[in-house]
Amino acid sequence: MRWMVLLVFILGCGNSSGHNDAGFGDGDPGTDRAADGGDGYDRVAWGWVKVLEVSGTYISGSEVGAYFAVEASYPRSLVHHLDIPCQQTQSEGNCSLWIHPALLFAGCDPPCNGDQECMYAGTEAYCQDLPAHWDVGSVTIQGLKTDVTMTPDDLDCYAASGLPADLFDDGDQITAGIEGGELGPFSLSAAGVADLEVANTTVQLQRGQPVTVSWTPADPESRVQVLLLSGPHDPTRPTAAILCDSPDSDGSVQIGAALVDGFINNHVVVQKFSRITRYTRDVQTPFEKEIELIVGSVVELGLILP
Amino acid sequence: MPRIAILAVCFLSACGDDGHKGFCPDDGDPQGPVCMTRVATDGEYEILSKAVGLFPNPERTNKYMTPVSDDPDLLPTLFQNVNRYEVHPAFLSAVFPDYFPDLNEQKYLELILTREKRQYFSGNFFQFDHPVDGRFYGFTVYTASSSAELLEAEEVKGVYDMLVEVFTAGELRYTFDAYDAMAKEKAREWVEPGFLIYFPD
Repeated sequence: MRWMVLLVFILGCGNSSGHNDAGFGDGDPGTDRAADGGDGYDRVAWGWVKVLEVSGTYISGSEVGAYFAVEASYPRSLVHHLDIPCQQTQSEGNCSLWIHPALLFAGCDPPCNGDQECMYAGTEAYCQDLPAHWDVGSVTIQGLKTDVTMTPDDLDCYAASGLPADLFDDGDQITAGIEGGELGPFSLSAAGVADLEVANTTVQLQRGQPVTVSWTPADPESRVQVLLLSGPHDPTRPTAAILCDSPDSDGSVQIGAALVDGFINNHVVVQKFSRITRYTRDVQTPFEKEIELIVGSVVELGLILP
Repeated sequence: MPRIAILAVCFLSACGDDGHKGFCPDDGDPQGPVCMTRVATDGEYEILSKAVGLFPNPERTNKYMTPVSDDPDLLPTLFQNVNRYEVHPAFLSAVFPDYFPDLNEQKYLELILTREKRQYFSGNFFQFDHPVDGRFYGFTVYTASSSAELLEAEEVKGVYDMLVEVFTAGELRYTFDAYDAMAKEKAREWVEPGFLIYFPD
């Protein structure tokens, strides 16, 4: 979590610049949002709640947070939400290759505020407002060794701090209770997972060669996600990524040579964290779009490239 | 750090006034100058940096860049105030538009990543509070993530020499960004490179 603090400040979630009401006209929900026959709001919400134990070179901690908006955006997404910044170009077995469609990196002058993302149109960089976001009141995570209640910052980002590294045990029933706020109450539930153990935290990619990433199976109810990322550090989007998703019981996943080559061919610099995650999750659509609770045990991976 | 404390540190140590006058002027911003060309005290480093965490994480972090040669057309070594500008491209384009017209991240990466085009070494700069070794500082160097572009010990020694000339706030060591497994593995090969290395694992 400690190292993640640095990432959070780079990503901007928490760099307050005021509430973003983009798309909501004059901000009056009674006139800006279509009536749904209920209380006058046509609510649309995408979002996530994360409850992660993280282990890595500098990291020994936890990440607990949440975010809800009318639609997804890269600066406020989870790292495995690759469909936001990238396009899937190949898949093989349990793995897929994701590439940023244009190898351009934005640099806005003056810098964007915390509720914007620097984007590119041709050669011109510009600041684009992030989608409007929701204050859902408090978000309470129950079923942990210590319950956690979060309230939003000025940008409607929810983040807990000062938490222990050991949040939960295997099989704990973890529930995220959303008080409601501007959306209305709902909850998501997922099981705690066993701590992830890997023999090697380095993944060596060689051109024309498949590579196998292994872990110790321990939790048949969970899955394991391997995420390899390249690109300049945040807030720049990744240039290439490989995402694998397998049953925990597999104990390993092989990344095919074509995907390895695609990753190598599209990488410039690695300034992002790759990771392997044992997880369970709950995905619901109470407001049209997906809202996800992910509970996981994360180990950071280092990449060795040719 | 409260503004009055920043002003006091700057008054006592002459923030930015170090022989490279004019590169990092104190514009009176409550967060301190946009950069410094010399850092002589923990207090000065605190102005430029943000808190990160507790050991084994860095306590504080900011960014630096240093020229690859003594070409007078290049900027001197700069320690960036990340409280003013979080990332290098935004800092350079805003503070030095004459040096970097139309800078974007693509062009910035071309300035720093490969031997062929590099004009500056650039990276993160950390403050560690080690439970045994005490306080020390660490610098990383960005390179393209390919084995051919990983720095040799003598190249890192060159960066180290540039930095220790103007950074005198404490002991300086070469270290690694947490995501940079390649540079760390490369450095494990070195024997007595002429500078200290901090391996965080």
